[in-house]
Amino acid sequence: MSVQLRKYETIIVARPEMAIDEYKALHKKVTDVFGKHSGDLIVFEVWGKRRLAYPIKKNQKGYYTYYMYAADNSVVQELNAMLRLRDDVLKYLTVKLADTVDSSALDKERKIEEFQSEDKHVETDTVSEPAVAEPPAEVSDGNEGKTEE
Amino acid sequence: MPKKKDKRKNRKERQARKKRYFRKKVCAFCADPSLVIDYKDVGMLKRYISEAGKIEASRGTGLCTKHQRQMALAIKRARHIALLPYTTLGRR
Ligand SMILES: [Zn+2]
Repeated sequence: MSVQLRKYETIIVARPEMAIDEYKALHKKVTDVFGKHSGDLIVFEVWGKRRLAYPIKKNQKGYYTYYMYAADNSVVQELNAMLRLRDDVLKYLTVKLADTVDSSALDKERKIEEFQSEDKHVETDTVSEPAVAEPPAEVSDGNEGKTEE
Repeated sequence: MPKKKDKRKNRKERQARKKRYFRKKVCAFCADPSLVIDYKDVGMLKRYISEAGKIEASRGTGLCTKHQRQMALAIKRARHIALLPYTTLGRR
């Protein structure tokens, strides 16, 4: 046990008008980073095309994907470096959820969604609460894992 | 001398009583610990921004300092990934 695994989530907003294979290729790039640094993907969700709250590079919509994973710092660094350089990625955000990982509980949380074929894309204007397998820990960069009290 | 002191005390008491009528409602997230402030829950966050998209002040939201801080952070994160607007002013 040399590296400290932490729980993170990353949301990627890609250009809306890409082919499904291009989204899959982007997804592959992400999972390659996990593979390289022993990051463990726990939840993957395809939120799909959603209206952006403000236009980004002239796009009114974005293609959202959600990743929740256990990894160490190097994964996050490399992932962010990779995403920053891609011009098919409009926005991305990584948030640390917890400082520790209960690896025995991970398989219960595991939920890896598949990409839907293009004609099945649901376009939502109103963003609804995504189904997260686990209640997200306190939104904080600090050390608290869960809300106290 | 003691008379003056009494007067002051009375005023204090009056003010204390008066204040009670304006007592702030209790923070929604303290009242229900099962509620989690999540930057992905746009429906919830929207209740804490103004029509112009600005973060409501705690005097309007009734949130305690801790949850107001978490709420502000969640709104900023949601804005970053375009789930919420920075502002709705000047929209064409
Ligand atoms: Zn509170």
